[in-house]
Amino acid sequence: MNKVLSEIKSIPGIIGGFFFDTTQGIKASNLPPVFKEYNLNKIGIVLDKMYKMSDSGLKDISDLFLYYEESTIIMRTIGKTSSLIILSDPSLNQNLLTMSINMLADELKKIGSKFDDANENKEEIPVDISPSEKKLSEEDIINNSPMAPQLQRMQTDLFKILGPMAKIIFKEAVRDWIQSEEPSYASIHVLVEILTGEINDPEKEKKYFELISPYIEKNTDHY
Amino acid sequence: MAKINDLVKLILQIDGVMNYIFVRDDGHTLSHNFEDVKALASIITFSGLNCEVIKPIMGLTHFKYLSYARDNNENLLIFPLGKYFLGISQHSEAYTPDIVKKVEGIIETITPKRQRNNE
Repeated sequence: MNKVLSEIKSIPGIIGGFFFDTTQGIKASNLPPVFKEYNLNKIGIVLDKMYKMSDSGLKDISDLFLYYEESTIIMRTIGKTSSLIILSDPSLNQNLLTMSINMLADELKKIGSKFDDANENKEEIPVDISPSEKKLSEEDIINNSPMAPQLQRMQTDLFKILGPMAKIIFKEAVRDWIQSEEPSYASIHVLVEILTGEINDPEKEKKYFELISPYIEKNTDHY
Repeated sequence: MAKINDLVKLILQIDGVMNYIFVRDDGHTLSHNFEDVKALASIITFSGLNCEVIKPIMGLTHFKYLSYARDNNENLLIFPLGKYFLGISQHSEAYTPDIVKKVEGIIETITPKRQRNNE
């Protein structure tokens, strides 16, 4: 699926696209991360409704082109419940894109059949979101990210304040942090706020802050 | 109504326009030259309203038009006009961007911007 999306993205003016199935949801996307999966899912549902409604009266629809001031949304159904949805610049030539999609017809048909078969057998197709869309888990951030040494030190210092519960509390705090912020030194103050909220004791909060300040401030100085 | 009749006259003068239909956003047909519009009026209203639904989801500002590309190339184009939608069926040999440009030009001259955007 990603190969097809990459080929489509190589057409000038294309922002990216995704495969949507009414049963399976979004299974592959190469759109920039600013396009959240939740919103893309909603778009998929609306477009599917539009296609089904119009197909009942017009029968021979091949593609839907929705033109907005800022961009164009294109939909082509590839299976009983699945479709390819593309986002492009508003200036994109409709005929050029249709021609390009037609050249990928065989591959799209195969992908559509894969969705149909999976739905018939009630199987789930593995999610194939592009690497830019994948979110790191809290464990990845704590153990494998460039910030791992500082975060592990913060966890150790939290142990000095809260004892054995520190590891669980720290993990949960990092999870909340990466859900609301892009994890970086620029946003680490948010993690500190979450942690001090969890400590919930002014004395202990002060002590924890004194412990982490030297190495946190050192890293956030340039932000 | 006078405005719609003026608009219809101009729309029908565009090369490549086969049929037209004007519907209100509640599905009521105001004017048309199709043979049968029962299903078409619902399709146009439903599609037009859903294009407006997508706007806030994607952070888009203005819905310009929708094109249903068809295998026989008689594409169906839907333009928003405040509380109304204009549906146009094009000839199979017609070039869609040319029709769109002319229709948008007519809409711009005949209706105030505020009404076009339904603001």
